[in-house]
Amino acid sequence: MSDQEFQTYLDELCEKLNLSTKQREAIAGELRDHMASRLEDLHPAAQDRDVVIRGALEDFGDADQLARRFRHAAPISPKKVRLTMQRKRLVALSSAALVLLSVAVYRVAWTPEPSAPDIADQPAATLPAAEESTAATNPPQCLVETTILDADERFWEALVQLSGADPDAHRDVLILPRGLARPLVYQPTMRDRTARLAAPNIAVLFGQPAELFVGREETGSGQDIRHESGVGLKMTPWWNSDHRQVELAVTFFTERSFHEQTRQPAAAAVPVPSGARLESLSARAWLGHDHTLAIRTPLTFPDHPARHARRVVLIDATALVTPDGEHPLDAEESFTALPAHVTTHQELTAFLDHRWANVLREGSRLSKADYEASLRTQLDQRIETFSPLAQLSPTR
Amino acid sequence: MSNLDEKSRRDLFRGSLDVMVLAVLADGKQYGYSIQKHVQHASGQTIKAGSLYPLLHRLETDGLIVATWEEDTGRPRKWYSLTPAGERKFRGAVADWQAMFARMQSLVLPALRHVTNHPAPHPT
Repeated sequence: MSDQEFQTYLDELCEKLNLSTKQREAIAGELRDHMASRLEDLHPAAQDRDVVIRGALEDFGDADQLARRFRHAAPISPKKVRLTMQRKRLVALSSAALVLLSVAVYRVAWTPEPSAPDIADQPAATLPAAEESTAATNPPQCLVETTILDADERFWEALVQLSGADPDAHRDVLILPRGLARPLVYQPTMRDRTARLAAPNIAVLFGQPAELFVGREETGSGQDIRHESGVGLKMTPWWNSDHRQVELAVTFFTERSFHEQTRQPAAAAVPVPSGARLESLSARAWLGHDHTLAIRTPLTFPDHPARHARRVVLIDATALVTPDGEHPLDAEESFTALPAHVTTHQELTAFLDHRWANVLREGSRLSKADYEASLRTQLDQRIETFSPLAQLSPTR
Repeated sequence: MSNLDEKSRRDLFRGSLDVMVLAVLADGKQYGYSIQKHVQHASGQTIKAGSLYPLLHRLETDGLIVATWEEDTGRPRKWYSLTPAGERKFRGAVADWQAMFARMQSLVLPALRHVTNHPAPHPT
């Protein structure tokens, strides 16, 4: 087995691929890199080069089978897609024409009893034409895509109802349900990173209740990394030592899982507002459950009464940080104080909406103008109805 | 040693492969060989290159990942990264997985407690 034999394998594979030259070259190039990486990895371990190559070829498997797999995975060209769509459209139009023709023939061939109501002349008779007209203006249902933006908006609407927070004006917290956390080590996605870069006062919080706020260490980059049993949470600069903002700790989980994980009795319970349900794609892991959220308090407040809460609110401030210092809050206070506090810190969200909109729109097809219009409308509505809870001072 | 038989383990692994690859890419861009190593390390299962590369191409075709060629290492290397659609898919899959796990837990844990408290008598 030698390099030449690997090349022979690639040649054989490419021959069987039945794809365009460009695609074949891309696949061969990728496999070449795989082989080179493998050699780099294994050769220093004093393994025979031929043994490594043989191992890699076994790893790739039979060239014929691999070629078949690649062919199945090959992208369909836009031209083919267009042709398929045109063919489908043609079939649909032919079917519609056939139905219309059948109806016409049926009406001509069958004369109804004079005394009977003329069903064929009723509005239903115009149904095929009406359907055709609708089909021309509306895309088929399967092509209508629910954007993540829609889901997020619904999610935020639910948050507004439940917590009184103003997500449109002050998106201070980006919430990821625990279902989005990876089982072992959470690695922020590019989208998370983008969000964080765009809005330094956005916090991404997630995780199991018992896993938050167990440890903290400062990194050289100035970011906090929280460690606990197998789960590392990379937090945003929002958590930096200056604690400019209110510390929010949000986590979602079912009552059952919380109970199973913590074995703690219900205490300091605050019921979720009656009838409250979250409906969003982002939150679908919770659907069908009695959703609850527990307040987790930082280590700095280990005796916080809300630490063992089983049924609480959606957003909670565990402490307010003001120029006077940190002020721990109990569950009820924090629930009501949060919107007021967020409202009084508008300077922290000065450029948030615009950047955040860009981040949100990244996953959707909503144009910037449409998004801004939507945001503006919602904001206007919110301003009309929002009454800041100024009487609830964040300081104590 | 796993209590699952080999076939069940392989089936479970195969069924989770898409999500595992998306999970690896959620961390940032990776190339084929590094994805293979990540998945093997995390799962303890061997993923053949002959399965991985067609899978990557399928995910790319489906628009869940996107590939770019770079030559930082001195040779052309194909890097994969998650698209917004891939990220949504990943989130949805993990959410489904979590929900299923929670339901399984609600069934299994009480049963496990029962079995622990009332062990079956030894056959005589």
